[in-house]
Amino acid sequence: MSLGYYFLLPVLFSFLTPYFKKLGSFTLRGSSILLSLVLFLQTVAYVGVKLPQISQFSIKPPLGIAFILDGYSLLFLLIFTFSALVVSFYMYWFFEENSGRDEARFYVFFNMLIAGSIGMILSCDIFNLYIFFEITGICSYTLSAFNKDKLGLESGIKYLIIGSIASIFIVFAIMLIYLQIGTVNLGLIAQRFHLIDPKISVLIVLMLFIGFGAKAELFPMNFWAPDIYQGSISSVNGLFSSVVAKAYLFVFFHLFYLFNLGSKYMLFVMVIGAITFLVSEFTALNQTNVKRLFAYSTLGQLGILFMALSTNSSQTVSGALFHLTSHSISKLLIFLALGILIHKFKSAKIDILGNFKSGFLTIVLAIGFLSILGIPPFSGFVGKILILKGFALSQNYTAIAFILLVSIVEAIYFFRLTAMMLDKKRAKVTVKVGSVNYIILTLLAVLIILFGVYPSLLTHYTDLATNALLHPTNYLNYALGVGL
Amino acid sequence: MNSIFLLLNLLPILFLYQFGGALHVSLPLTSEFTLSLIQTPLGTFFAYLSLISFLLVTIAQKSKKLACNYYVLQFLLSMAMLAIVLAGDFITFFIGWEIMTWSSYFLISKSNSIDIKSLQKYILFSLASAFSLIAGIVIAYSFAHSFDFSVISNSFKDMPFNIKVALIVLFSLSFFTKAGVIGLHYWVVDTYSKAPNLFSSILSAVMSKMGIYGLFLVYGNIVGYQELKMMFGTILNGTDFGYVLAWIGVATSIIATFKAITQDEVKRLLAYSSIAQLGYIIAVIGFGTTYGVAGAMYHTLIHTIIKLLLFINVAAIVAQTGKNRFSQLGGLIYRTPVSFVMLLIGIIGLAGMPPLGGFASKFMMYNAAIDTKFALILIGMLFSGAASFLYCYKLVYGIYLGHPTSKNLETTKEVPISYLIPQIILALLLVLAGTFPGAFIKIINPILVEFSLSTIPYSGLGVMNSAVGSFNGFFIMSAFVVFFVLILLLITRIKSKAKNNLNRFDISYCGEVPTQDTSLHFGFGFGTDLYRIKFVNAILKRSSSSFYESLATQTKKTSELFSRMYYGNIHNTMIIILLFFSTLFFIGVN
Amino acid sequence: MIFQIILLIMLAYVVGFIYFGLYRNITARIQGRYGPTVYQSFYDSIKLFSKNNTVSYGWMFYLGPVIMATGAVLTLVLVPVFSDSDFLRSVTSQGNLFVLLYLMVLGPLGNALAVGTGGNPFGVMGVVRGLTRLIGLELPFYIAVVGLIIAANSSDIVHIIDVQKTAGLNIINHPLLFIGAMISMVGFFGASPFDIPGAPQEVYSGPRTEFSGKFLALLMSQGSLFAFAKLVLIVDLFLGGADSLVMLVLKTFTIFVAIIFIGIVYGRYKVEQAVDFLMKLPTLIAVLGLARIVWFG
Repeated sequence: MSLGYYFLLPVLFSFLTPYFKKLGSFTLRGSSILLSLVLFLQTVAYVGVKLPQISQFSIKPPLGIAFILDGYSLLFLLIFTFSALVVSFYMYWFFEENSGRDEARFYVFFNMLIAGSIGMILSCDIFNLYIFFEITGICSYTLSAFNKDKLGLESGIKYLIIGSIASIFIVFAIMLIYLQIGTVNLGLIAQRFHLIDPKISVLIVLMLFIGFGAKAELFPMNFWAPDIYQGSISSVNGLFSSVVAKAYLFVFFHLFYLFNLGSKYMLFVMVIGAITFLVSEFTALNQTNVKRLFAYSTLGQLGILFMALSTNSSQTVSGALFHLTSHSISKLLIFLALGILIHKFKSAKIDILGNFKSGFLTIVLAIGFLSILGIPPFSGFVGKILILKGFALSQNYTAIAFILLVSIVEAIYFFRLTAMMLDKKRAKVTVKVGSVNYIILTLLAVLIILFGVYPSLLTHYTDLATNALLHPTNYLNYALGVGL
Repeated sequence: MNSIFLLLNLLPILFLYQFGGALHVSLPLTSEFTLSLIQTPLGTFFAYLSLISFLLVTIAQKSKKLACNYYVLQFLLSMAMLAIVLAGDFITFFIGWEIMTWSSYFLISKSNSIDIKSLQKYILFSLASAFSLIAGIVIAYSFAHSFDFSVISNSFKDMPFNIKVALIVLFSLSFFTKAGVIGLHYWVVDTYSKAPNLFSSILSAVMSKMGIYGLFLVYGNIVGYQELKMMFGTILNGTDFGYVLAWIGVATSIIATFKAITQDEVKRLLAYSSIAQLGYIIAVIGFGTTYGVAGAMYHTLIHTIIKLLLFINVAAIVAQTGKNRFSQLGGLIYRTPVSFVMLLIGIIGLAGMPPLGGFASKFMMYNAAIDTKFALILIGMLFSGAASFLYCYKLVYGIYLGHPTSKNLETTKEVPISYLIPQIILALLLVLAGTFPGAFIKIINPILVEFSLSTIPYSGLGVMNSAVGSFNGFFIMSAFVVFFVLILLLITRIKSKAKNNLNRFDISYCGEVPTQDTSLHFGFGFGTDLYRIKFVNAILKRSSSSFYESLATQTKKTSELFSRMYYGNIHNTMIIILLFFSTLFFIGVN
Repeated sequence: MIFQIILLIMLAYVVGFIYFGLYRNITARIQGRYGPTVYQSFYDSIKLFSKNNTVSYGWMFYLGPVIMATGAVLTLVLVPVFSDSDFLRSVTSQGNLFVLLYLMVLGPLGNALAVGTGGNPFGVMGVVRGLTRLIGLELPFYIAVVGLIIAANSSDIVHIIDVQKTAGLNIINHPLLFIGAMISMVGFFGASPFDIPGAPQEVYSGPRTEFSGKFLALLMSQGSLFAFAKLVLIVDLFLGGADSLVMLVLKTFTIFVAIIFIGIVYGRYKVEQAVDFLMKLPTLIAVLGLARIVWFG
C-alpha cells in the first residue's frame, strides 16, 4: 500500500463524515475506530520491512512530491496511529455518555488531525510539510474549542493566534530557503544548506526554531499551552500531548539533523530545553486544575526530550526516543483516566477529583505517574536511565544533576496527587469504569509495564529511529530520488 | 490469605538455602543492560535477615484481617529487597531499590493514621535517596562503561580523585537517607510512627538495613577498604574517612537518643531509637578494620532482632488497647505478662546489657574503636548508650509498669498468640546471640574474606574474641542464671508474711491516700529533666524541620513566581515571542 | 572455686557494711552529731531479714531486688580481687572491663522494674533521676576507663593490672584520668553532692520507697557488695591491684575515705546541676588525660 493512503484515507473518512452521521451515531463512531485500526495495522505491517520506503506521486523527487518512511518516522507513526486508535475507542464511550454533542464535528477534525500529523512526519519537502503543519494546526484549534463554553472558545482563539504567528515564521523561513537555494525538497536543502550565507542561515534557523518551537511548546513561547489544555476535553489533551506536540518535535529534530545544525546549535537547544523543564515543573507545583497541571507536566517532559534529542549522541537520542514513546503512552493513560473522573465530577479541580473511589483507576493512574517519574519497573525508567546513561557517556554531569534535581520537584506534585487518591479521610465517591475504558486503560497500563520489564521490544525501534535520525544518508538519497 | 503468603514468604528462604551460595543468574534486559543476581556472603547475610523478618511479621499479621493487595505489596517489597541484596550490578540494585520505595509507599498509605504530609516526606526523601544513587551509578558508568559491580570496582582505582569523592559522597548520601542519619532523618520518625503498626517493624528492622547493606557494598566491595585508606590517608589507627563517618554516626546516635527520651508516642520513641542504633553502625562501618566491619555487621543483626521484637510488641499492645501514647498506657504488667517479658528481653538487648545479644554487638563495636584508637568516638558511643537506658526504661515503664491511666486498661487481655509467636522466637534468638556470641564469628568470617580483611579467630561458641579483649557469653549467662536462682532460693527460704496488695492505691504517698483522680503514672514526667540540662536542651530544641520547612517554602515561592508568567494574556505571549526572536536574531547575527 | 566465691561474698559483705557504717559515722561527726555505731548497718540488715513485708506487688516486685543482687554478685566475682594470685582467676578471665561497665547498670535497671511495678510515683521519680544523673555521671568515668584501655591496649583488667607493674601505677601516670574517675565515683557511691536518686525530703527515699522487710535487707546487702566491688575495681585500675588482704583493705579504704571527704562538704545538686557540672570540669579533666594518651602517649 502506498504511503499516500496515510493521508488520503483520513481525509476521505473526514469528508464522508456527514454521510456516516446520517447512517447513525454507531456508524460514525465505528468509522473512526475502523480508520484508526486500518492505519495502525498498516503501520504494523511496515514493521520489519526494509526501510526507508518511498511513495512518489507522478514525478520522481527531487522535483515531485513524495512520502518517505524511515526508521525515525516509523516510530512516530506507530505512536500516532496507536494513540489515534486508543482515543477513537475512548471517544466511543465519551459520546455514549455525552449524547447530543456535536459528534460529526469532532470526527471530521479528529480524522484530519491524524492526516495532518502523519503527513508532517512523512512528507519530504518543506512546502508540503508546511501544508500539513497548517492542517494539523487548524484541526487543533477547532478541537480545542470543542467545548463551546468560555474556556473552550478562549483556548481555540489563543491557539489560532499562536498558530498563525508560528505559521508566519515558518512561511518566511521557507521563503528564504527557496530564495537562497531554489528548492523546497528536504534532500536538496540539506545538501546545499551550508552554502547559504551564514547570516541568512542564522535567520532561517531562528525562524524555523521559533515556528516549530512555539508549537512544540518550548519555554519562552509556551505561555499559551496550559490555557489550551484547560479549555479542551481530556481526550483532546491526550492527543495534543502524545500526537500533536510530538509531531512538531519530530519535525524540529528532523530538520535539526538533516540540516546538520547539531554542532552549532546543540548547546542552545539543550539550554532552552532545560529551562522549559525547570520552569514547567516548578509551575506545575502551584496548580489546582488537573488539566493545567498535566499540561505543565507535558511541557516539562518535552523539555527533557529537547535536552536529550539535541545531543547528537546515539545513546542519548535513543533513550530520548524511548522516553518519548513511554511518555506518550503514559500521558494518554493519565488524560483518559482523568477524563473519566472529570466526566463524573463535572470539574477539573484537584481537590474535587481526589474524592473518587475506584481501585482500578487508582492503580492505572499510579502506574502512569510512576512511569512518567521514571521509576522501575515501568517504561519511563528505561527511557530515563538511557538518557542519563547517554549524558554520562558524554560526561555531561551538569545535565544529569539538573534532570535529577528537577525530577524531585516533579515528584512532589505527582505524589501529592497519589497521596490524595490514597487518602482514606476523603469523602469517597465510587466511580464505575465502563468496559471499553477498562480495556483501553488496562492495555495502556500493560504496555507501560511491558516496555518496562522487557524494553527490548521497543529499543529495537528506537535504535532504528536513532540511526535514521542521526545518519540520514539513506533518507537523503531517497529524497533526492537517487536510485529510484 | 495469611497462610498462603506465609508459605510464599517461606519459599525464597528455602530457595536460597537450596542454592547454598551458588546462585548466579543473569537476564538480559536490553542489548545494553543485563540484570544479574549473584549470591555473595554479604548479600546472603542480608537476604536471610530480611526474608526471615518478613516471615515473622507475616506470622504476626495472622490476627489482623488484611486485604490481599496488602500482602501482595508486602511480598513485592520482600522480593525487591532480595533483588537489592543479591544484585550483581547496579541496574538490578536500583530497580530493587525503587520497587522497594514505591511498594513501601503504598503499604504506608494503608495506615489509618497517615496524612499526606508524612507520605510526601517519606516519598520525597526516598526519591532523593534514589536519585542520588542513580547519579552515582551513571557517573560510575561513565568511567567503567558497565554497571557490573566487579567491573566498576576494578576501574574505580583509575578514576580521577574528584570523581571518586563524588561517587562516595553520592552513594553515602543515598544510603544515609535510608538509614536516617541525623539531618537526613526528617522523614523517619513520622513515617515509622504513622505507618501500619506491624509494617513499622519492617521499616525499622529491615528497610533501614538496606541502607546499611548499600554502605557495606560501596565501602567494602565497590570502593574497597584498602582503597579508602589509600585515598584519604589515615588518622590514629584508622582511616580519615572512617573518622569523619564515625563522628556523623556518633552525632546521630547522641541526638536521636535524647530526642527519643522526650517522646510521648511509643512508636516515635522507637523510631528515634532506631535512628540512634543505626548511628552506631554508621560510626563503625567506616573504620575499615576487621572489628569495625564485624561490629557493624553484628549490630545490624541484633538491631533487626530487637526492633522487630519491640515493634511487634508495641503493635500488639496498640491493637489490644487502642492507645499509642505513654501517657495513655501503663500498668499492663499483670494483664499481659508474656508481652511484658518479651518487651523486657527486648529492652535489655536494646540497652546492651551483658547476658543478652545486645551486649555482644556493642562489645564488638567498642573494641573496634579501641583498636583504631578512636577514643572520643568510643566515649560518644558509651555516652549515648548510657543515655539510652532512660528511653529503655521509659518504654517498659510507660506501657507495663506504674498505674493504668484509664479504666479499660484494667481489663485488658493478653495479646493474641500470633503476635506472641514471633516475639518468642526473636527473644530466644536474642538470648542465644548473647549466650553463644562466637557463633557469629563463623557467619562474619566469609564476609571479611570478601572484603579482603583479616578474619576473627574462633575459639568456641561461647567466646567472643576481639582485637583487645574477649568475653565468654556462655559463662556470663550461666553465672547470671546460677546466681539468680541461688539468690531467689535464698530469699524465698526467708519466710516473711506479706500482705498482697488488694488495692493499687495502697502505696506510701506522703501520708495521704491517693484516689482514682490522682495522677500516679509517671509517663508524662519522663525526660522533662533533660530540658533543664543546658547541653541536652541545646540538642532538643534544635530540629532539622525548620531547614526543610524553609526549603519547602522556598520551592513554593519559586513555583508561585514562575506560575505568574503563565497568566494567560495572549498579547504578552506574542510580544514575548517577537522579543525572543529579535534577541536571538541580534545575538545570532553578531 | 565455689568456696572462693562464697569467701569473697562474705568478705565483701563484711567489709562493705563496715565501710558503710564508717561512712555514716564519719558523716555524723563532721556534721557535729554523734552518729550510729560502725556496726549499725549490720544490725539493720539482720533485723530486716527477719521482719515482715508490709506489702507486695506481685512477682516483678519480688524479682527486682533479686536481679539487682545478682548483678552485684556477678560484678563482684568478675572483678579480679587479688593480683598475682590464682584467686578466682578462672572466673575473672571470662569477663572484661566492658562487661563490668554494663553489668554495673544491669542490677539497678532490674530493680527499677520492681520500683515501677510498685507503682509509687516517688520511686519512679527516683529511678528517673538516677538514670538522668547517669548521663553525666558515667562520662568522666568512661573517659578514664577508655583512656586506661587504650594505654594498656587491652580491655582485660588483669592485663591492665599487669601493665602497672612495669610501667608504674596509673594514678601516677594518668592523674587526670584518676581525678575524673574519682568524681564519678562520688556519684556511684551515692554520696553528696550527687545523692539525687534517693534524696530524702525530695522524693521520699526514691527507689527504695516501697521496699520493706527482706527486700530492703537484700537491697542493703547487695549495696555493700556492690560498693566493695566498685572500690576493688578502682584499686585494680589505678592502684595496680592488691596482692594481699591487708593491701586490699588498705587501698580500698583509702579510696573510700577520699570519696567521703570529697562529697561530704557539698550540698546536694539538682539533677540538671549535677549533669551540667559533670559534663564540664570533670569531663574536661578526663578528656585532657585521654588526649595525652591518644595523641602523645
